Amino acid sequence: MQTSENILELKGVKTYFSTTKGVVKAVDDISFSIGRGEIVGLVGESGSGKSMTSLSIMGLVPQPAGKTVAGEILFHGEDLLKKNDEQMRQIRGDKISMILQDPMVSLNQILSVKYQIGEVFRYHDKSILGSLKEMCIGVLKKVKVPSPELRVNDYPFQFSGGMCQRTIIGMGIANGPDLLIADEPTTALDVTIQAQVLQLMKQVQEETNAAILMITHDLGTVAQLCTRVLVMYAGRIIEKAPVNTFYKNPSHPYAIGLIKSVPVLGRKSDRLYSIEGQPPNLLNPPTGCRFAARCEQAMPICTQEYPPEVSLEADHQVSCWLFAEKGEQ
Amino acid sequence: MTKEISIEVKGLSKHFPVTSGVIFSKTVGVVKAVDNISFSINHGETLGIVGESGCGKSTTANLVLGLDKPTSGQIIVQGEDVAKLKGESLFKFRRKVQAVFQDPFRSLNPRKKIRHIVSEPLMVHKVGSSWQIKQKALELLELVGINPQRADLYPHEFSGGQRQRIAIARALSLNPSIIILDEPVSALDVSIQAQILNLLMDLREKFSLTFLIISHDLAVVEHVSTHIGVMYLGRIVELSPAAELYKNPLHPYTRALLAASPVADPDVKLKAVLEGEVPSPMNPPTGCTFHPRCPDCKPECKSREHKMHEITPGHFVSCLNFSS
Repeated sequence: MQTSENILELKGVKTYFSTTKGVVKAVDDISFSIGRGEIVGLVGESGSGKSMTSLSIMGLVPQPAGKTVAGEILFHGEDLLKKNDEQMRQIRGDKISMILQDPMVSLNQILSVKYQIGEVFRYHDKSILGSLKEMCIGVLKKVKVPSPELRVNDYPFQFSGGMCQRTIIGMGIANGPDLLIADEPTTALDVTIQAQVLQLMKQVQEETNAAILMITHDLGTVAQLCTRVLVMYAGRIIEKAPVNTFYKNPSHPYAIGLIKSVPVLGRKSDRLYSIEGQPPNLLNPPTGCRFAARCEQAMPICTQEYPPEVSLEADHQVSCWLFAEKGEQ
Repeated sequence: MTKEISIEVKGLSKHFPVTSGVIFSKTVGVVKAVDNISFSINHGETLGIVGESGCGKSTTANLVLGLDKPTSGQIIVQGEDVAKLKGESLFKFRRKVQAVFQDPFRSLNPRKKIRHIVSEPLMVHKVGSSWQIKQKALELLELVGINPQRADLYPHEFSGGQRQRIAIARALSLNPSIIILDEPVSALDVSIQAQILNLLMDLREKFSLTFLIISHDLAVVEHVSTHIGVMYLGRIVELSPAAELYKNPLHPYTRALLAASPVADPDVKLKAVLEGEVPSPMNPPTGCTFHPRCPDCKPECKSREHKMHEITPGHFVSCLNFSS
C-alpha cells in the first residue's frame, strides 16, 4: 500500500451506540485507507454501517448515544478523533466535505442558494478573496447549473432535484477539499439525472484531484465511477478489491452473492440469485463471521471465530475462513 | 390460443387542476399527469411501466385501482368499466384487483398484529367464519415465507423485506386475479430485492396472476415483465414485449434510459448522457413532449403530435422517426 500518499487512513475504528437494550456495534473494527485522487466505493446494504463510517470520519456521530470508542482516523497523518470541536469545524467543509443523500432535504428551503453557498466561504474566512456573489456564481457555473447569474438568487424549492444535488456538489468542492465523502449522492435522483450527476462527479474529481469516498448500495454506480471497492456487511469490511477484480473475481461469498443478485439489463434469467435470510442484529452480533448464518459454504470455525483479513493480491484483501485456511497451508 | 384480456385501457387521461388563492380560488392551469394512454394486458401477463418521477406511472396505477377517477377514457378490467363502478359493484371489484405499495414501512398499520393485517381484507369481505379466516391468514404468511409462529408480532418487529412479504400476503388474501404493484422493491436492498422478485414470479405462476408493475428501475421491470411500457410526461412513448424492447429500443427516450442505467460491470461505460431535465407537466413542450431533450429532433417534432405506430407486431412507438 502507498502509505506516503494516503490522505485518509482508518485503523481499527469502532463506533458503538448505547441503547436501553444494550450496545449496538454499528461500525466494528474497520481499517482502510484512501490515496490522493482515488475514488473508493463503500458498498453494503442498509444497516451495514456505511453511513456511520462516514459520520465517524466527519466526527458527526449522533451524540450522546453514539461514540467512536476505539481506533484512529488519520487525515494527512493527524488523528481526527483527537481534535476538538473547533478544530473539526475548520476541517469540515474545507479539507473534507460531504454530499448527502437527499438534495431536497440537505438544503435549507427558506434560505437562498446564494446565502447557502456563501456560508461555505464565510465559515472558512475566504470571503475576502472576492465578491461573495461572484464566487457563488462561479460555483454554480462549475457544476453546470443553467444560467447561474439568474439562478443564484433563487431558493432551493425553485430548483429541481438534479439542480439541488449539483448545487450541493458545488458547495462540497468550493474550497478545494482533499477528500469528498458522498453518501448515496444519486439515490434520490432519476436515472437520466443520475447519469448526469455521476458524469459531473467524475469530471469534478479529474479537475480538482480530490479523493472521493463514495457510499452507495448501488453496484452499478460503483462500477461506473470507482477505482476501488470496499464491501461492508454488518459493521465489518469483508472485502477490499480494485473495481475490476471485484466484479470479475469476487472472493467473499457475500460479495459473490451480492453481484449475482443484481438484475442485469438484457441478461434475463428465470430466477434471480438471492441470498437467503436476513443480516444479523448488530445488538448482539454473532461471535464468528457475521455472514456465516446465510453462507452456503459455512464451516464449523465460521461461527466460532472472526476470520482474519487475508491478502490474496497486493490490493485485494478478504476476511473469510475459506481463504484463511488456504493461506495457512 | 386465444388470449383473454384482463385489463384494457383506452385513451386514458387524468388532469389535475392547479388552483391559486385560498378564498376565491381559481384554476390557473392543469397538470396532465396521464394524457391519452392506451394499453392492454392479457390474462397471466405482466406489464411493466417505467419512467422517471412525475411521468404519471403511479397515477396510472391509482386509476386502474379505481382510487382516482379518470378525466376521460376507459379502463376495462375483466369486462367492467372501473370508472363507472360504485357502491356494491366497486366493493366487489376490489376483491379482484389488489395492490402492493412501495414503502412497506408505511403501508402496514403499526398498531395491528400482522395476523390482523393479513386477515383484514377477509374480514371486510366476510369470507368464511372467524376460525377459517384465522387459518387462512396463517396459510398466507407461510406462502410468502413468514413463519406463522410470528403471526402475533407487530410490523416493526420485521425487516423491510419481510414487511413487503406481509404486504404481498395481504394482497393475495382475497384470491385476486390482478395485482397492481407500485414500486414493490425500490425500498429494499439488493439481496432482499432479488428474494421478493423471485417470490412474485413464483406466485404469478402458482395463482396465474396478472401483474401491472410500476417501477423506475428498468432492470427490475425487464426481469419480471412480459411487456414494457415506457412513459414520459404522462404519455406512453413506447410499448413492446420485454425482450424486444431491450434488443431493439426505438424511441430516443427509451434508448437514453437504457444508456443511462448504470451497469454493474466496470467494462461497460456510461454512454451518451441525456441533456436537460424533465419539463414541468403543467407546461409541457408542444408537439412531441420529448423534443427539447431529443438527440434526433426534427423541426416537425416541435409542432406535430404523434400517435402510436406499430412497427413490428406488438411493438408500438410514438416517434416521428418511425412513422411513415
